[in-house]
Amino acid sequence: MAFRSPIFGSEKYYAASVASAVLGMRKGSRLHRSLVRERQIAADAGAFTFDLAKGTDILVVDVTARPETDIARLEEEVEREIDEIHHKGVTESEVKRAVALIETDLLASLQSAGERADRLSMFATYFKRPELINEQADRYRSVTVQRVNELASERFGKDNRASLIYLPKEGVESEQALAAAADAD
Amino acid sequence: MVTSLRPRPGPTRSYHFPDFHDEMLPSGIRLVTAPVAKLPVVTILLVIDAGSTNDPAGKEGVAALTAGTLLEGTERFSGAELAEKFEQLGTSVESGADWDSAFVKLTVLSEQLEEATRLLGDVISTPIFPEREVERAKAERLAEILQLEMEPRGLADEKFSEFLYAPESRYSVPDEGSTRSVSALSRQDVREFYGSRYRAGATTMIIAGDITTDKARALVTSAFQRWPSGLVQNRPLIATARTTRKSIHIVDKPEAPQSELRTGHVGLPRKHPDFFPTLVMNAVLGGLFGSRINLNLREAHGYTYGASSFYDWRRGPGPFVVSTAVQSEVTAPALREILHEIDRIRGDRISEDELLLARDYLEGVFPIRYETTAAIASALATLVIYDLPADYFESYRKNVRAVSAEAVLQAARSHLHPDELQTIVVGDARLIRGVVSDLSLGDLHVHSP
Repeated sequence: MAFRSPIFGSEKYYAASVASAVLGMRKGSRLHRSLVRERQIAADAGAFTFDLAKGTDILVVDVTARPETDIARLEEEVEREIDEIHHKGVTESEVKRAVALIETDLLASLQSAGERADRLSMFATYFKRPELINEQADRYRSVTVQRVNELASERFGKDNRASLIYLPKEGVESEQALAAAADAD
Repeated sequence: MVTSLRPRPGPTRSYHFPDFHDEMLPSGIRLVTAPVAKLPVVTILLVIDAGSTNDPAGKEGVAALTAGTLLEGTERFSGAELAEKFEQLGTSVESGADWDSAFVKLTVLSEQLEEATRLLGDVISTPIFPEREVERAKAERLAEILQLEMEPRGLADEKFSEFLYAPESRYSVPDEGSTRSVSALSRQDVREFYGSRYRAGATTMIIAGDITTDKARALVTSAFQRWPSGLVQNRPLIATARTTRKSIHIVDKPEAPQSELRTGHVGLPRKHPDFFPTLVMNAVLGGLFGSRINLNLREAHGYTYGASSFYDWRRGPGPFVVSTAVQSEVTAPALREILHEIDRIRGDRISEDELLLARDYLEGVFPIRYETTAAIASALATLVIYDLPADYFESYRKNVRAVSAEAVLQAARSHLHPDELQTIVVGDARLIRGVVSDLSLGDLHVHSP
């Protein structure tokens, strides 16, 4: 499922990036907690921004069904989680978790020369300002609950979503076999 | 600084692996600290001598299941609460097991290190392995096995190990267990495995990053007070071959457009005196993109997108294997070329150009492998797990440079055994049975998947 989202580098982009982390970054995220751990209907769940700097960016929610899961039900449950954030927003603690994870990932990745080169080149190409690399941690730290909630309210509505379901060609046979395995215990 | 001039490469610089301090704490935990203050980041890597080779017979997969569910709950917190607590500190913990050890790993900003270490010590000293989480992990593993077995690649890997090692060898069953063994595992098995293996005498704590040795010692001493004391004994490892007579097994996949090929034999243990000559020999044979096997099968004949060979380095002798996938109709010619390359590298010295290419590659990629605190910690874990000398990384490039063409030839003659090759082909038996039987690959067996 994807949403049109504010372009990379804009003020609202950082709120969108944090919103995607609240939704789908690591095991403490909403989608993982709800769909993978509690309801056990997804094998994996994540969310991320595409980081496009022109036109519009895309915020993607990516969920893989457990073999025995009915796809229509999974889609419904994902929509329920999105609607929840769209209408009720996120909490201070969720934003703190997301920003902390993003900041650690950012600093840890900058240890590698290849990553530093990639990011310098990205900021140089998009904005002609490679030094923006030094501002990223602060940009994320300045994201507030209010800004994330404004973003969710503006972008997570039904009028700004597209949903794609991918089923492998041999899906029917494989799914039955996998479901049998999952039930075997 | 922004400049319009392209930077020019400077002279080659020497590389030094970060200094590290190795000590035994009074608790019996071994502590290895590598202070690297490039960025305010620290990686903690806990290595426990609790890998799959210590699975009791009939309980294959219990080491992986134990490590995989270690962080799924304590008496005080559920797995979800623990994930939340670590993530509020900007980190998430990974745990798992391979053949030789179990590990628990996290990377955190140094300002959160104390809290993260305390939490980690508390969590892994008091896990309760909730029934629901153990069953969930089992179901995930069983689904994964089925998925692997449906793919020719996964099936070929699994069957190769099964046909290579004697049935009583732990290496004959996947490290995470088989459908049969995993289905039979219980929460009690996991608790017993944890109780018997997760002890101070089997534990090394590796800390790399923005930290001093003194601080690391104080943190670990304080955070791991509840870590059970005591030593553990490793199970004797059986790694004998199922047979030393070469043979070929076709796993039939009717209508398969491709054949998945594996051919090899029992290899060498990681701590073998011929490690470096064998490493360079394999790089020339099939370890690099520009290796003989890949250039032959991919570039010269166009049989495949890629073909490679590798030694799976473990404490015990893991497999040596050549691996590729080819169109069904060229199965026999591709196998013939693989056999030819094995014979060729055992027959004559490699050229100076080939030797330089392999050595330059192995030397050149070495420093960039250890840029991050996580990679440095993993490298130090290698020293611990395989009991390698403290100067192993410092002398690695010198040891690679010292390998001569003659040493490569001797390694090939000593450690490649064409007469013992076990060959697995996952493909359409109807198409390939007749043609591969002409290759002198030994007795032919056809199996249903």
